[in-house]
Amino acid sequence: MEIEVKYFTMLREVTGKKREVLAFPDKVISLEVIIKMLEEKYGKAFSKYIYNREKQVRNYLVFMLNNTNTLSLDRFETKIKDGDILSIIPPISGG
Amino acid sequence: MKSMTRLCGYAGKFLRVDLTNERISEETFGEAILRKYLGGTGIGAKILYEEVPPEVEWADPKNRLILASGPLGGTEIPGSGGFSVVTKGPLTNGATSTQANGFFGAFLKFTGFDGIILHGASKEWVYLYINNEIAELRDASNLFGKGTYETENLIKQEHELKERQMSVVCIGPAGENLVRFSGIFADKGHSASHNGPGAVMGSKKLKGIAVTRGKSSLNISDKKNLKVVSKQILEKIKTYPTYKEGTLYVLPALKEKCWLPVKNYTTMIWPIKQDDLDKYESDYIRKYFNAKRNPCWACPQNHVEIASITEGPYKGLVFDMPEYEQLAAWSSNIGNTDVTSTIFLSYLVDNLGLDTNEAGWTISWLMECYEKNILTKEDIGLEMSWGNIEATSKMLKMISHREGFGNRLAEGVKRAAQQIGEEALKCAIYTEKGNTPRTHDHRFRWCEMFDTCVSNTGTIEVHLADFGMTELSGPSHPIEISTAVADTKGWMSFEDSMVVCRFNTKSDLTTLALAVSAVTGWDFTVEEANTAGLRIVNLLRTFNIKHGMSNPRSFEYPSARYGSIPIDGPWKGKNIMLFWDSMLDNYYKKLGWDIKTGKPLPETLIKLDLNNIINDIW
Repeated sequence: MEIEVKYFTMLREVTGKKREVLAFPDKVISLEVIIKMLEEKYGKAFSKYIYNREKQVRNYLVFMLNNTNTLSLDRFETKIKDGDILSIIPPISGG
Repeated sequence: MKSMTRLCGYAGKFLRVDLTNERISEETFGEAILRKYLGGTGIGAKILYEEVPPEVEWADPKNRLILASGPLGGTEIPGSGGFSVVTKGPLTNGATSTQANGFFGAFLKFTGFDGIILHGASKEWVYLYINNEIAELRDASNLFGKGTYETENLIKQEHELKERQMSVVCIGPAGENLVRFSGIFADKGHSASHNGPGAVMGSKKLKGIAVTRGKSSLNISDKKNLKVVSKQILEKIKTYPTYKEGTLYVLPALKEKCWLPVKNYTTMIWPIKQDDLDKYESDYIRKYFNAKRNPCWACPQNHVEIASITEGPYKGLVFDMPEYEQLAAWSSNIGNTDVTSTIFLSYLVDNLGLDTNEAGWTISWLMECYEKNILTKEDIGLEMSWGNIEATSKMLKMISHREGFGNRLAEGVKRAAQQIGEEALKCAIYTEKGNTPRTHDHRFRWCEMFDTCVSNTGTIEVHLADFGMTELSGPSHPIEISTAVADTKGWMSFEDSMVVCRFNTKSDLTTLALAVSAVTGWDFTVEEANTAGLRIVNLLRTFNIKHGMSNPRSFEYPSARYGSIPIDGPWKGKNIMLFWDSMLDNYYKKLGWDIKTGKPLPETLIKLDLNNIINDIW
């Protein structure tokens, strides 16, 4: 399966791209697995951006799946399937 | 003039300007008053409360317009050059507190003043000139009708000063013509514009205030500790999303979250092609519009920039790079997907001196009314179809000069819709107090919609995202949201009394209390900071109650459209109004306010050392 991942602000520097298509052999995969896979791909800078000192995902980051906040789905257990779009979004300040 | 020992952190004097009698004097506040009300919004709230009685309407010469810095103003704390404006505002006919960044607050302190209290009304147009403790009113007849950018340039030319040798705050044609949503603009493009302070300034026939960069040094109690605190803030800033991109990253990110306001809340989905959306990305905007760093006082962020347009119909335009709210107001919310015209309209609104939020909601509401045939071309004088840039541009000018149908729109969304009738009112986005929200779709952000409606000042007073708190899902946590708004209620009022930039200090009371201690020499605690913030909130609320909102609860609701149920997107079918009353009950209880009316209870006012105002409302 293939999914699209969109990055914003500092994650664009970490990954060197605004968005990318990731391919997996599985038909369904959890958000947690995708985060771990991205961690392996992009290394320490990615981990530092995603996790706090207690190795928990920073609470201000929002993971949107097809425009729906995964908080209102199954959080990190949310199932991601072929054609889905995942956006990793930093805290938003208006102004 | 009274003499006084100059307190650390303060210039030591306020300037009082009676425009009716052309009388300028100085006055001081004792340490006890300053520690209680601090500066900026706090000291402004105290002056407003004591000097403006209920019978004084916003355009009455007796209304006060207070511009003030705070104890951290002009220090090395990043972004401490702004000012807070406090007045009785035209949209809510209640208290206003609104801030702008830039340099004005810092320069004012270097000139020897912590703030300016304006009252009365001049017979002719004037501007206030302040140069090294000398203040005088000067003829502004040549500035009348000029935009905010031109006004600033002309004043600087008159004094033969360059950009950072003088700071100018001024109004555009909108303020001159008493448009209820006109702002006060500083240092080209920085606006203090919530609840129409530009109209108050216009009612006084004051076109602007120019302050040269003074030579007074600030009196800092503990420079070493201040350096430590500043360094801590600087290190944190480097981790913020705004550090490298300002708010330019926000619009594409909000598109993903379906938080963008789209066509006046008629949908939550913005149908824009990827190629067009890519042009709203910060890298494209910066490159295409030749952005150059133009930071505010002591700010390390790549946030504020000067930019220009070098080709096409807007060729030659030089402008302050728009913020997120401008980009959203003039793109998704009016059905426009062209970035260049979005940027042009953002500039136009700043130059005319309008508040971009209320202006955006006014135009999007007008476009919906036009689409639904509630208003026709014959009524309006223009074809106000979605995305019509030429018509929008013309209408913004008509509003600013109160010409034709623009005169009706100059009253703001709520009043204009009430005049048109029931069908128009159904489409209008506003709070029952009379102002519009910031340019977001709050039907996803229940926290911000709730705070906007319970605000005393015509804008949000809580920003949970900036406080580093977890985003609470509305339908799952309505009561927790109202608790969070109550628990953090005083934070931003305290920060606005310091008058530091929220993008830098994030309402972090711990750091701010350390900074206040270092600057003033007081042993200033987080608890004292929170209490001071809540004191200001309660004082402004009591002001509003005295001035007509005798039952605040009855005003603390969104309009039908603002609180409507989304018909598409991730929050389709979710209805905040099912929870609204229980959210209000909980919120009032947490803040020690009467649940039935929303009035601060006497025991709450006593706890905040506001015993003297109890009898004003009980």
